[in-house]
Amino acid sequence: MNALIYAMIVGPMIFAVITLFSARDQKLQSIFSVVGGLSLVALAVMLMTVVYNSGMMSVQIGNWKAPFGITMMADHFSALMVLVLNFLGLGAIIYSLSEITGPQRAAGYFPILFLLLAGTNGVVLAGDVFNMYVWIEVMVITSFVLLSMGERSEQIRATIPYVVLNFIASMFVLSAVGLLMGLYGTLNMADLAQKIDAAGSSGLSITIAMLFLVGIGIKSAVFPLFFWLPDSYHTPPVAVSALFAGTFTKVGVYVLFRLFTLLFNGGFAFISPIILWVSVLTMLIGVLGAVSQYEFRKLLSFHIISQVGYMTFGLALFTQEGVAGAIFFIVHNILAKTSLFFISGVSLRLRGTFNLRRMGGLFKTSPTLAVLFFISAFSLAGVPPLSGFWGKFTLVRAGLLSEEYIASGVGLLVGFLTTFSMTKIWNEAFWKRMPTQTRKTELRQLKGWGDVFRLAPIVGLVICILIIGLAPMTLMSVAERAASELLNPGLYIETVLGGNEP
Amino acid sequence: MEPALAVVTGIVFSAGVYALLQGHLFRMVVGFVLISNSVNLLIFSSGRLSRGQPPLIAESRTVPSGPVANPLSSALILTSIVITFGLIAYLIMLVFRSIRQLNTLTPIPGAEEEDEPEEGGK
Repeated sequence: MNALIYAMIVGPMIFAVITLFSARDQKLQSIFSVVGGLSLVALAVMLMTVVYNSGMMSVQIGNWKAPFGITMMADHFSALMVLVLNFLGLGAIIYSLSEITGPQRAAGYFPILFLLLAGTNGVVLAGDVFNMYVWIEVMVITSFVLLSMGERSEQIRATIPYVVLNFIASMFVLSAVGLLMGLYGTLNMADLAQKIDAAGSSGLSITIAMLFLVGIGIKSAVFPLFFWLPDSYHTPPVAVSALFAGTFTKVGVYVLFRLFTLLFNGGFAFISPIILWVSVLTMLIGVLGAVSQYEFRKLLSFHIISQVGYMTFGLALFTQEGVAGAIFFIVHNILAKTSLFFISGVSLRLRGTFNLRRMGGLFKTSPTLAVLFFISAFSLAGVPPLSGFWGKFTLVRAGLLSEEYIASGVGLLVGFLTTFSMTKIWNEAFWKRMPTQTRKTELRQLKGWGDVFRLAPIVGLVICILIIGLAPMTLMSVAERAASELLNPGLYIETVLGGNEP
Repeated sequence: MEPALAVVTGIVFSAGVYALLQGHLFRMVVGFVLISNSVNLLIFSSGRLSRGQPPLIAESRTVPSGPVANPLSSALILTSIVITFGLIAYLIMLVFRSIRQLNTLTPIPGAEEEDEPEEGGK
């Protein structure tokens, strides 16, 4: 079953080539894209099942023995992330079928989308620090292209700060990788874990840890490094916004988890309070930024930032409950956030604007959309019995158990403020009557295949939110297994170095 | 040798950051190039410096007979050069596109008018 790990990376590349060659025929390209998305989800489900039943597995590329070759590693956390991210990719592909225009297709939208998926799968499955950096770069470069693909000038204006900040982040990460190699002589994560444990913390290794924290922190949009996110996420086409919202910051959080539980644990325990206070500030300032926003997507972008704070809060706690809660929260958040972005796209279609003040009356015209929004938004806010409630509950409980009262209190306060934001969207867009200044010609009804493609991903994501909310134990058990694997790196090291399977 | 190289790396990185902060698109490209070069220098020097010792093994042997240069750092630098080359090529195209579309080489982010986004699709 090692071929599954290879398939998660090679599969999207094959589909990138297939969609590239079928770019002349729009219908054929659409069919291939959907087939590609579905097969990736199927492969991810298979991977998750295998890992759940037989434990984590690793492959050494080219049969070069670890720690000399490149390792790819699928433990519970990786397999779970692969599953959720590819599911999200399928949703984005289906949504894109309705919105991506001819010129954008000709510019290579679908191939680049598949390469983005290849990059995210690669980051999550990498067992070698430099390989992880390379896949991060694949993700970043494809995101540049997707962000600027379009004709509107605000996209160019927004891409430039995005490019610069992501480049700086990459350079920090690359410096850290170079220094790691110089200090320990190896870049295989299992080998590094052993060597760092043996050597303890020193001035240079603390510097490396901090370089990683800042570099990956920029990508994860933590405080005070998040300012590129609200400036850029509201500009590209909706499918691209939603894909970014679900993938980038969460993959950044994944890398933070991997590095700080596997490599920089033990002797580096003083980093935990730093991450804790960064999380608290991220949660708070993210949601306060959203309070003044009336542009739908900008508001959601600030919420991305605040939710990332929750995830790193779980990491900072460094306990079984904290990390398990954070992993559960990551999965729930990917689903809820992406579905909210898709809903903003549908409301654009119905009302012609993203400005909340000019919208209104959506509850009357499309009650289905209102229900879908209600479920996603209040799951994000943490209202029972939806998925967000279990995520927040586990995290706050873990915080209280670790006696971090201030941070848990902030978590609850931020949940309250998130509810305030979601209620604001509900009031402005769905409940109130449409203001008379909005031109009547902007209104449309939901009909036709285009709108099926828009609604289908939302329905799929909402069903998942409901399932997780009403029956959280499956996801929670996977999260707990993942957390115990993360916090006890011995098993990881043994699987990679002891195994040497082809 | 290493301290000198370290100082040079720092100076080039600082020059790159200074160029990035100018707010002018072409200087930003120059800044990118400088920063990526300095990070490549960093990886290079972390593989330990040596003189005249190519990272090769004699034909009849399986292990190196004496000290050799570290091949791993060369491989890392190659990869990072290629990646940053791709990034900078993209960035140059972005600069050209923004000259055409915004008519300015000193764009100010966030200074856009609140225009109605156009929609694509069926």
